[in-house]
Amino acid sequence: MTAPLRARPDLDVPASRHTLNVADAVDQGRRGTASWVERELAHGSKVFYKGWLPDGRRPDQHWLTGPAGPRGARDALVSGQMEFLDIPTAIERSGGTADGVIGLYRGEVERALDDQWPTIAMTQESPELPMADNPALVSEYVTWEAGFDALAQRWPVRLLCQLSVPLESETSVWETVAVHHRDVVDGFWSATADDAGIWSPRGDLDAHVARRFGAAVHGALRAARRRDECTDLHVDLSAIDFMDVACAQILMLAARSAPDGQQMVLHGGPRFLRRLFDAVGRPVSVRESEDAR
Amino acid sequence: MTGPGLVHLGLLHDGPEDLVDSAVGVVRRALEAGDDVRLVVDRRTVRAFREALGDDAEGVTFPPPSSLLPPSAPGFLATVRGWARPDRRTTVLGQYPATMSAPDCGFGEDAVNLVLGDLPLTLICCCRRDLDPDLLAVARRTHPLLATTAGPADNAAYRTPAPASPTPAALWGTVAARLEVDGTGDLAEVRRRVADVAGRAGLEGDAVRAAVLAVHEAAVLACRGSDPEPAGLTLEIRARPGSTLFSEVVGPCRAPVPDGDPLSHVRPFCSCAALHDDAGRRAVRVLTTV
Repeated sequence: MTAPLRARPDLDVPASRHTLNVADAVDQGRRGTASWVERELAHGSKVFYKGWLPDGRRPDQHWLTGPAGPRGARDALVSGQMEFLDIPTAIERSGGTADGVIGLYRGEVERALDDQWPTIAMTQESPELPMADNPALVSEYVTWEAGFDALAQRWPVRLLCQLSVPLESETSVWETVAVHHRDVVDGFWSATADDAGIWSPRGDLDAHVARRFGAAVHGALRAARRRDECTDLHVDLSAIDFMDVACAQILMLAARSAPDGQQMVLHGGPRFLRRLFDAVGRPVSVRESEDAR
Repeated sequence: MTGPGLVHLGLLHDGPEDLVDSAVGVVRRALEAGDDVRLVVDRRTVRAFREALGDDAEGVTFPPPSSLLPPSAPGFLATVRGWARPDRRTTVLGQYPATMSAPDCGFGEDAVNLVLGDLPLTLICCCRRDLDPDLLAVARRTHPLLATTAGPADNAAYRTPAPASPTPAALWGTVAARLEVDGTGDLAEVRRRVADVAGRAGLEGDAVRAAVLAVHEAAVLACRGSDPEPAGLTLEIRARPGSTLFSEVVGPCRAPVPDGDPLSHVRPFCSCAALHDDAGRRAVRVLTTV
């Protein structure tokens, strides 16, 4: 066996996409965000940044665009290549509803396109939404994130949603990862979904990220159930470098708890993973793909 | 002596006849249960056993003493593991050599208790009372049960090996890697180091994957209950190239283990796994053979 490879969260893909970047620590998240913003600026994108400004500070005092931030971000704020909106103001303008949030973002995109920017990059800090006590808010959140998907499909837009785990409730972390199961980057693991609906987790899946991985699995199963045609979830295992018992159990339990008629179809991946699935108990709702992917 | 898991008996005796008197009941019960019974003893003791067992001796094998490595030998554990059979229990009786080193014997016997506890074996370790007092003390200390003329009896002198006790380098090899583990965030580094040492020990392909997974799970178990505080664990990985890969995670015991066998999910991926709680400390040990 080669040494376990690490997931390589490649956020610098020039195609439109809607990505969630999960960070275990605030500083870790900031480093990833700063790097992403710098690359987008270098790529010539118009950047819309939504963040928290504590204690009445101005955008030029923010950790990214202030004196301690990278020079590219500071300069872009001055030149207008980057616009900063503090999150309370964004909530006020959008009314906190899905329609309002999507309208706010769409307006920014249309304005940037009118100004002849070739691509638009939009990112927002961990929103600290009180989802734990508010199912209606969860529903609104799911709707506006779907709206972001539509934005990225229609226009040259790249969205980076930031999730700082220490700042969010367990419910928020779960829902946020579940909603973003199609494109999530979380330290040593990541996941994407292709147009054919095949969901591909990759990297190292272990106890440290098991709950988040479980959220993504459930998000993928939930999304598959919304499809008109086959609701089976196809999972490509070929890019998984390591999976531990906790994550294997989560995957198998998710398949076991799926509604009647929904199956999990496994593609690719090492033989050892099958041994692991057998060890934790493989339900009948999990089957192997018949193709040779 | 039926049932799952290791039964590790000490037998203290004054000579062949006394040995046989204490052992014959256990041996007969093993034969009746269908065990594979091996009595690895000197000629005089073979004669005494044949006499005591009568026709039943036909169901017993008597390998020569030279075929049995003493507990002090580096290959002892591998030999013991080789006795285990998937279809039935194996009972093995052996004698302590008079020249055996007491500390090395203690390491070997402790290791049997620590990492071979899940094997379907009955081991009867016989020690003459006139041997080196230190060796006799090891025999008393390392056997949970004593074979007596009245049958197996609890051994009040048995002492569970402490998790903090030094792991016998002679048995497991030198420390190839040592690292601090403060939580599940360190698991990636744990896996990287285990994979590295496993490859150098001679494991390949799925055997490396299994070894990495087993040690990873041992570390996960040891981390239980520590979050958000640092777990304060130390992982040592020892290797005997071409023979064994041994990993031990030691640290504060912060949470009770789950009901049932807490290592049932680890065992399919290693040769042996053992958890040991003692005086607020927890050790999880994993052994993989090459």
